[in-house]
Amino acid sequence: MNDQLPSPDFDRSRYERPNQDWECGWTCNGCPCRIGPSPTGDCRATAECRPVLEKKEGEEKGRWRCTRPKEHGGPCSDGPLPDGSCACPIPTCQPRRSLRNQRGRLCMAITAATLALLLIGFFGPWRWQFISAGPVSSHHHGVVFSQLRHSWPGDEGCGACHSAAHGDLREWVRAAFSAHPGPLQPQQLPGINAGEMTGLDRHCLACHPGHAFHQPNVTRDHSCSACHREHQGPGRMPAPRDTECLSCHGNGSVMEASLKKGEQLPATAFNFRQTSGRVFYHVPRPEQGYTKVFKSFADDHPEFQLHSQRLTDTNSLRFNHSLHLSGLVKLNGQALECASCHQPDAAGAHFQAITYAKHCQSCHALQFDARNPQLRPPHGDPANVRAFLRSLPTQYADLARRSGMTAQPDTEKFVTEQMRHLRERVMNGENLEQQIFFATDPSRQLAVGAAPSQISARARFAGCAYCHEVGPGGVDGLPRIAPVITPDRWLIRGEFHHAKHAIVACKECHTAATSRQTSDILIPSKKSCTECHSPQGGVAQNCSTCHSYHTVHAPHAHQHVVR
Amino acid sequence: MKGFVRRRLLWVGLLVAATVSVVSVFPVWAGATTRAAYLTGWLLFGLMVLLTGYNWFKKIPHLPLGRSELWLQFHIYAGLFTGVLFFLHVGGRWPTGWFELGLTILYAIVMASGVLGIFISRGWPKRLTARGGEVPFERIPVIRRELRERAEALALSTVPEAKSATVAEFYLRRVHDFFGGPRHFFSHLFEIRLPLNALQNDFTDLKRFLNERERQVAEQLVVLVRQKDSLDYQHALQLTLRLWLFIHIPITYSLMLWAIAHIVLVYGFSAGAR
Amino acid sequence: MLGRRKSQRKGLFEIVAQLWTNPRDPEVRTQAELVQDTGVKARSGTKGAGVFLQDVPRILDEHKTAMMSAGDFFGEIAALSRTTRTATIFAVGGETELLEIRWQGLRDLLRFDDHLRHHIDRIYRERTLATHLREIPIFKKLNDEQLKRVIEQTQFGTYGDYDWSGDYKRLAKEGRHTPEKETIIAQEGDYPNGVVLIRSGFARLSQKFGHGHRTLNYLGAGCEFGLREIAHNWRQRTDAVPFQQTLRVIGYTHVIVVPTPVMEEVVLPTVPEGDLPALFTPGELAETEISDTTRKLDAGAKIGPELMEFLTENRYFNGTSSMVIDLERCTRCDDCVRACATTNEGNPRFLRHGQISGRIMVANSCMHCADPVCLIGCPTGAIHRGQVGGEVLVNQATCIGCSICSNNCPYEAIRMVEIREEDGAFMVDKDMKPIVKATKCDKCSDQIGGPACERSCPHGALKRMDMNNLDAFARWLHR
Repeated sequence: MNDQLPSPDFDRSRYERPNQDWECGWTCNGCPCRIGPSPTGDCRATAECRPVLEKKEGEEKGRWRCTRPKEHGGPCSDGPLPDGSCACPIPTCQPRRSLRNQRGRLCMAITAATLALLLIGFFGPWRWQFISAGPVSSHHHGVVFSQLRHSWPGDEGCGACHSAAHGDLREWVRAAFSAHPGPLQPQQLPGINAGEMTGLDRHCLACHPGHAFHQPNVTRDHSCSACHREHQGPGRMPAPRDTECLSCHGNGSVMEASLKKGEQLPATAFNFRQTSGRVFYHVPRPEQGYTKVFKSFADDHPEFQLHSQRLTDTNSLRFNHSLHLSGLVKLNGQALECASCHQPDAAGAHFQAITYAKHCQSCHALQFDARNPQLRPPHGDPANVRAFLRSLPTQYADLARRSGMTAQPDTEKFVTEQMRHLRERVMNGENLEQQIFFATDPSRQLAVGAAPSQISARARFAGCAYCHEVGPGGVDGLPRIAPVITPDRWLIRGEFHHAKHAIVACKECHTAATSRQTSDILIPSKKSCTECHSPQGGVAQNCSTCHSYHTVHAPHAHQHVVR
Repeated sequence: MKGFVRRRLLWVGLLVAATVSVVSVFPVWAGATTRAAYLTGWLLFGLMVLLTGYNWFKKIPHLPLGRSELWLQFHIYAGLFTGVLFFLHVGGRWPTGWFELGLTILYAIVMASGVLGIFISRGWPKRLTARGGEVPFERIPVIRRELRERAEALALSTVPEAKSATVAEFYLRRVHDFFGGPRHFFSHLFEIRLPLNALQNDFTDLKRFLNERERQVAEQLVVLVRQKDSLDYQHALQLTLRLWLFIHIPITYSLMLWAIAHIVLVYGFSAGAR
Repeated sequence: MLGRRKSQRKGLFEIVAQLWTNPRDPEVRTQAELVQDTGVKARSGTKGAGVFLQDVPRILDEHKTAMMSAGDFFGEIAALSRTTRTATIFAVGGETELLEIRWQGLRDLLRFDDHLRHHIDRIYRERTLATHLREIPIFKKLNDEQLKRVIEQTQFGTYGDYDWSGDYKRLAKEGRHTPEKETIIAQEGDYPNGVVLIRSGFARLSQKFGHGHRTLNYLGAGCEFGLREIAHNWRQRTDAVPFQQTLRVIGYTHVIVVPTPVMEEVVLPTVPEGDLPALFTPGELAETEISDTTRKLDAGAKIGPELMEFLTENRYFNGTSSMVIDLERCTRCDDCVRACATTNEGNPRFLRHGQISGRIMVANSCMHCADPVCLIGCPTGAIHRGQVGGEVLVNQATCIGCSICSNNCPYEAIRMVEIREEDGAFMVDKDMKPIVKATKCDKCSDQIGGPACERSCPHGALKRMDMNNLDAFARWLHR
């Protein structure tokens, strides 16, 4: 429905003045007076006319005449009062501000309120909570930091890191304009190096000394706060972003400078890693160091040196993973699998070291006498083995007593009997010793001659040389057995956490089932990792997932210095 | 509408191009420098200053500084673009501190009120035109008074003419308040005709109790009621078309002050650009 | 010279300074605005007061002059055709007695006195018609002899009331004014007996449509009617066509008719073939196709018949700077009114209200008409045309507030306001009557950058439109 108002008939002879600050208070009643308020909002209503005194010739007093304009009704019927005032006063009003003016005043009010709120916030008792960019991480919430809290201004110890927090708003403004580049120099932003140390970083050094250590051939310090971003929420600080690592490792000129510096340093300068009781597989530092430029893990991160340099395990202990996992070898009736020997350590990141006693002995016991399988020489030092063999009667006697033979004649009889069998087999102690140390042929077990029922299901002990590298030339004619060094850390420049990979089967990464040689290094190549740790795989592939910048100490550990 | 479509496509195209450029360059930018937040922040602040300048531009219409229409189009699309910049600036995270939370809330209010303003500025003039009864906003009280006086005179005229007070009493009870001022504000905003229909139904119900003359007067009163309703419609929509700026503009000044404080705090507490 | 103020643009600083110098009270007039040195002084002589012009030699040096003596006429063409006076007359030495006949008197005299009519006719033919015809392309190639023949044969026609605004307002009050009631100058279907040239005023061009008439366009000064039909008939004698449209009077129309025989014998042979209008095709005549010529002419089709009728009935075609507002874009923010106020010392000069057709409103703002009836009758010459852009201006210093212009304006664009002193009190005369002045839009002629209202609309809803260029209007409507 289109209802037409009487608006086409309305008074077109009058302008509307939305630019005026004040309007007559009678406007909302629909009858604004023609005089209008003053610019300061005062009602100027007086009367409808200004009477004029007319004196005709000869008259003394004259007559007051109404001068109301014709457009506003013409002269009124009553005329002016005898004292010359108009008989039609215009009722005064309370002028109102126009909408536009009200909006302007609201703007000013809100601006003033905002300013007041900001000043109260900045100078009030809660100013640190007010201006804080958010909760600090758990790293800066500990006991140590609480102690610092009381020595620095600010409820949260802001002054520990921010020198501006030593003062009030004036100090903040001063600090702002002293920054380089400052707020009035935004055009300089693109030219500044992001990794440069700043005043803020120098505060980090007060508690965290030695931050700068990454590699000896690093040519420039990297800002602490660039990697370690605070105020990102409670809990752990977020891991550094790849952009920080790539600011050097993705920068050809920086890598070039590092390469040159590295060439001038002795090789020993790079042997700084602490093993913390672990056995590291020592991977020689490449000639050019780690200065290859790359952009991401999945794309052009260098292949692990173990594979790129086709390194081998130089462990002297012979071990055939393939045989042990083939199913032919059983322990307590069960086929062997990876977890049969490799048990995770307490943290779950790695595995307990492989030892003979825990992992081999149950199958590879040193039984040299099938009749008495429980009698075994000690595993380890050949001198101890010799001492054992040379005291065999005593050993047998001890065995008899442990078996329950308490009477002396029984024990002696037992000893004599066993020694006789032994001599029948090996003829003399020299031969026995030789067989134990040097025999490698598993078909010629030392326990030959025993009745089938006396042959146990365990692997038969062929001789030390079956597993070890045994050679002549030891002290006192003893054999020299090559030390067994079984590394339990292969990728020493990165971190790997097995427990986090529990959903992946061992054999998916480690090709143990096909490894027959000890020299095989079963650490997977980078390709195995990038199947998941890549944009396509969807799993985190940040530098900090595996690497740490700080390499002097254990990863993610640092020293505290209490001021 | 060909020219209109062409112009809109041009502006939307510019906005999309700017968004795509910034969003695609940003990861590279952010990758190359941790200063991305500073750069997006300054870009955002600079745009906000330009956007705020539109209100000041309107105060100097006598200087030929370009057409207001172009300025408004720039204001709208640059304003929308600040949304993209804001998102990039905060890194897609909700702020964790009180100060930055305040800044985000202020920005959200300005943005939301601006988007609301676009919608009502584009849509409501058509509603006003379709409804008819055009009247300048400042003149509405005068028209309302005229309608009220006519209605009162009509209602009172039935007493001597029709010798009956039914219509007059009905007027006092049911209609007088309706003519007293602007009514049914929210109903008009949402095109709800229920209040008017209810009043008209009351008139319909009354007719069975009226004589011939009274019925004529009642019909004339209904016409006046409808005219008053149209006037209220004009009032409601025109007032809202002015009132939304009561949020958008004052909060903008608050936002700018807060943003300046933010800049001082960021520079002061970072001890160097990071 | 008298009554007017020299058009002067404000300097940049002055324009910027308006921000703080604009009075805060409405309609304040400073002494500087109300006093003007016209170079004319009053002096009382032996026979009463008179005015005298100072510095006569300088005036003589700056302008071309000619002497006039007793019995000479001047100013009749300007009075009759409502064009600007082309000369200034002043008395030289001795006593000079002047008889001023206002245009109403002249109109009546012409009606009753054949001799005067012939005299004026002759003067017009001698002085003005030749110049006027030479401006029209088809007459350009005529030599003096041929032109003289044309002039001798040319007929004049004056239709409607010179002061048409009164009639128009009365007609508007009575209701819609349909084309059928208007006086016909040339009828569709009649034999084309001559080319009609509009000299001043306006005429409606319409065509039969159903049971009524559809307005195609309106023709103003300089337009022609009937040339195409006559040129067609001259080339296709066996296939003659009548007038294809009807020409009607709107308000006041003064026409020149060049008869067909004169056209065929004298004029058309001099026009190159390529410059002649295109022949009518059978399709056009059967109304099954529309030619480019008709399409260009038919503004009504471009803007819609409703709007066309609206513009014609309300005489909006008169405007060279009509304020049109697209109500579907206008958010009623009043930025335009505020801009106008800021530009005019804090006083808006238009009312954002007016007649509406569909989504188009023509606001009550001065349209700076091609035919400004407001100029008629101003006793002081305060309302005048500006020298630069032709805008109609009111000189506040010489306006005496008689309201003649305001009453004359058919579009309620001129408002009388009570002016105030600088302290805000109303200025009154010795009878305590408030002093009023006429005010209206001056198209921001003293500012830089054109009308502030148009520039300040944030939604492109407001446009100052020349209604004589309906193509531009159509483009704006469909933007």
